[in-house]
Amino acid sequence: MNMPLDALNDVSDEALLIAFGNGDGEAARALTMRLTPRTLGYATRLLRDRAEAEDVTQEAMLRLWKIAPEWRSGEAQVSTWLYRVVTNLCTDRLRKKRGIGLDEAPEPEDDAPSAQARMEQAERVQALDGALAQLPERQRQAVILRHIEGLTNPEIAAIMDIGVEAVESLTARGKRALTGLLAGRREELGYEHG
Amino acid sequence: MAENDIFDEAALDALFSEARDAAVIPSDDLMARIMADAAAHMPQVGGFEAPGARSRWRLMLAAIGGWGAATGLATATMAGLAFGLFLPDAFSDLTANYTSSASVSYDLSDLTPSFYDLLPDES
Repeated sequence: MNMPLDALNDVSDEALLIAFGNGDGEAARALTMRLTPRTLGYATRLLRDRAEAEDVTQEAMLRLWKIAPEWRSGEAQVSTWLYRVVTNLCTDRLRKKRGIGLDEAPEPEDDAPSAQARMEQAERVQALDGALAQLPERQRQAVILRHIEGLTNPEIAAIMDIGVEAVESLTARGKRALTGLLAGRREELGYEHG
Repeated sequence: MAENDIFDEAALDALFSEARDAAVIPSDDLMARIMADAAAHMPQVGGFEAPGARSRWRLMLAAIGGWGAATGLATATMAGLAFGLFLPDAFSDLTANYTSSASVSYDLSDLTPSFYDLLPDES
């Protein structure tokens, strides 16, 4: 696709959404290019299933298109709204799958075949994702939003519909749990001690 | 647990950093599906248009807050136009008495007290 997106780089998500609400296809393209990778990345980390994450991303973007004509300027950030929709959609899917067992999601790769002096970056990220998958749902959401998506605590509080202190508590407990889950894999993951 | 097995916060932060850098790339198929949804739910009639002046107008419209704000702006503009068109007549009626007697001329002395009026009364 050959799109003149450079001109829209400085246009806010909100202005683009309102423009789409007024029938601007160019704004839709810019929003799709800007928001889809972030949305898909977050959904993939929550669900650990690429196909399902793509479905959730499409559904979340569809809801964005539908709400565009009624979007009220200044009420919320588009990205925050989208993260909230993705969080809820993923939560619903994970709860439906709970019979299979959310916390029985794929374990981190067994170290036998891939235990090398240093793992590649992809393997390290995979190890992190595996550990994240073992966290309780809310902790996982908070840790991903804070430490991978890079959102602020008030933004996460708005997405998860909880207080800022609760976010701080969830991320602190999540990080503590992660260090425990990754304990013993430090050298395997290529982090030298000290 | 041996000290070497502790996965400390610095190592965890390094992992987070690598995870941030490992961008998830959407497939062309997903992008196409999302764009198709956008086209299907775009509020106004017409498909995706080539970038041009019309699109820039829409962005400007979005920048001032969409159609709601544009409607308010149009209302204010019409009110201003109405004032401009109709108030001069009203004012001309109001000032007709003054302008119709414009043949009466005034001098500065008519507007200031007479020097003699300021003298003390001798009686």
